[in-house]
Amino acid sequence: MNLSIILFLIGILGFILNRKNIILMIIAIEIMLLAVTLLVLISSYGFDDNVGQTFSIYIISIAGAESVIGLSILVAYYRLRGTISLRT
Amino acid sequence: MYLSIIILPLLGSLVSGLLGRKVGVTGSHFVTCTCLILSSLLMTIAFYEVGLCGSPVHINLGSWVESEIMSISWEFYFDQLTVSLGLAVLYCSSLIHIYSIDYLSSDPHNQRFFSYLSAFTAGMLLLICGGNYFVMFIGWEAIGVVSYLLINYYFTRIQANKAAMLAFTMNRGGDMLMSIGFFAIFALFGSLNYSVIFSLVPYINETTISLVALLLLGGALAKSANIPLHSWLPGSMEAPTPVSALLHAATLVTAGIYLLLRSSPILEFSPTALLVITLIGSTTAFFAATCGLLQNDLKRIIAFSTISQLGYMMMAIGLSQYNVALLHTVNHAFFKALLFLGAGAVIHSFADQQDVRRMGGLIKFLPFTYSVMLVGSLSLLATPYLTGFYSKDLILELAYGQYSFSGMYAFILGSITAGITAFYSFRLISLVFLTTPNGQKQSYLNSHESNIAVIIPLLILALFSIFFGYVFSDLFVGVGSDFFGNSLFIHPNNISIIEAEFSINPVIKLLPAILSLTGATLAILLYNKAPEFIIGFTDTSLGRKIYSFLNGKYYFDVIYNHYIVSAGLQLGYTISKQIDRGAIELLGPYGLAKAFTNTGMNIAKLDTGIITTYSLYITIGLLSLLFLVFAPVLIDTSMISEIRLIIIYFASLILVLSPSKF
Repeated sequence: MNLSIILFLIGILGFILNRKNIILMIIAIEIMLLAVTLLVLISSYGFDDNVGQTFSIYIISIAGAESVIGLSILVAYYRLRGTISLRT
Repeated sequence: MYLSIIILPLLGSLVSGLLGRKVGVTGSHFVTCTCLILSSLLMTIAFYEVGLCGSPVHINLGSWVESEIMSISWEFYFDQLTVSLGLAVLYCSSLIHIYSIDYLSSDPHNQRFFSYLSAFTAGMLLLICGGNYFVMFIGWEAIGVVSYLLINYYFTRIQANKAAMLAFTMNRGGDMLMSIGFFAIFALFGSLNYSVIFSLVPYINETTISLVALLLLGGALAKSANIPLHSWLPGSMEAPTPVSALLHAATLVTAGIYLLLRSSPILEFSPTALLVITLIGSTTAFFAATCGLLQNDLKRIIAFSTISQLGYMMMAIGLSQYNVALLHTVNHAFFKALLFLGAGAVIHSFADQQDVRRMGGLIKFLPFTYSVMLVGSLSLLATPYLTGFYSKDLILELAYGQYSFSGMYAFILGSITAGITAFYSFRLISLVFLTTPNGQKQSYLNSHESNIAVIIPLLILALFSIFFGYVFSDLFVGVGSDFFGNSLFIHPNNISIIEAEFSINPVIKLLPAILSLTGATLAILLYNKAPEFIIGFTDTSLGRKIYSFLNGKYYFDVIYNHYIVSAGLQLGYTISKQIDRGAIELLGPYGLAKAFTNTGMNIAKLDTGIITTYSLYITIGLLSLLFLVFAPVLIDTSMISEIRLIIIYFASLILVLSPSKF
């Protein structure tokens, strides 16, 4: 549980503190999602409840889809503007 | 029938005032006089039923104010006090209405005048018939407003404007105290009903009762023109003479006395208030009498005599002889109305001359007016067996019969006042009627006895001034008379009628009468037989000083103007500049608008267009939302359920964001 909370904090701090790299931002969101998934997994294991584990698989797959969408937007953005820097 | 008594004058006033153009001058005369006479007849029946048969009437017209524990209804209470005073009010008022038909016959605003007069009567009836302090207060304010309108009747005259403003503002000072008194009563008793308050008074702390009584006294002092709030009454002589007779002699000024009479159960439990009332009353009586001594305006002399007599009534109240005070009030209404109406007749027939120094010798021209003025004056100075004697003499005897400091003070000042009263009354009679003619020849040639509409009221009032006291004194103030039943309460410790009637030395009893006779004789001698003495006296510097001191009414007005009025204006200016246009403006219209604009600008500045800043906002928002949701677990209160807290959040948000520069 500590691990997942630390991971979540790392994700949040990475999300807030990075200044220019949008890929880092997406990675930070991904870390947060995975931290939450880990939390769900651990607690479902603790409660001996299969629903939680099924749920975490859902979250992972949806997270994958979400990061794909984000990256593809980035690619389209790069083609349009020639840069992906946050500083405009 | 009882409600008709109150509503008839009001209807007369409405018809005369609002439909004056339709009904015309004669119509408005007819309507108002008929209403008043009908009302007087009904009041006579009410006097028989309530007073003589002893059956008070209580009428509840339904609820008016309902707010938590405050419940005030339109209720009227006719008890012996009400009908006794109502009789005087309505009789004087009816007679003065009839008198005014002739007195104002050449005035272009008859309808307005009669409307005001009737409205005043209605207000006065509301005041004395009200069943709780609130209804009474409406009547009180109504007569205050109508008094303003009537003093300002000749509204083009600056003196009348000033007098009206003075009367109104001075009464407002008293009303303020009285309203605070009502608040105190409500805070103490939780009700403004007479019956509730009076039955609870014995159980309340004496200091608190004293406070309430003194606050009520403040209102009474202003309305009844006692020191220190007296100076509006002489000024209000700018009004037409019937107004002076009705408002400023017979009825309006007795409103304060009525308030104190009605509050007798409160006063009786506060010796402090009674002492204060006695001292103020006797001082006023003496002060006003000495002022009246050397006035030169015919009406002002009578006005000061009114203040002096009001002082007597206050004195009687302070000695807790409420029934005597009431008898004096009623008696005074009759003879003072007579004096004023007589003075009006003199003024009217003598080219509107009011200065007594420019009159004289009118006895040959106005014999009837002279006779009624003489009757009024004799009654006023308590000539034995005339009306004034039965109350005024008794007040002095009762004062002596208290065998206390305040009683002695009242007795000494009252006796001296009786002498002075006789002096100035006969000074007036001498200067106006007896001495050598001092006016213009043309005025004498044109002077004439008034017509029937003036003579009838004067005659009736003269009869009342002679016989009323003889007929009614035993009923009102006789030893052991139970006429007043529960309407006036005299604490058993304060009953001193037995001592006054049976144990006082005859010399003491006769002293006021002797002083009166001396004063009257002295006045006639000084002003008719040996005027050289007075002329010689006013030529010395001491005489001059005394003359200007008394003629200047002890310089009360000067002191007020120099110290109180200017300080008040200064205070008003400061308040207007610092608070109204300063603090409130800054917090209110200007400050609030400015704060909202600044907040808007500052919030707009947060929108930077940088994604990382937005991410920070998102995180902060998430955290605060989490905090709000879990706050009940953490600090044991729900922050969302408190709507007031949310308002505070928003207010503090605006405050935090409002500074224009970071």
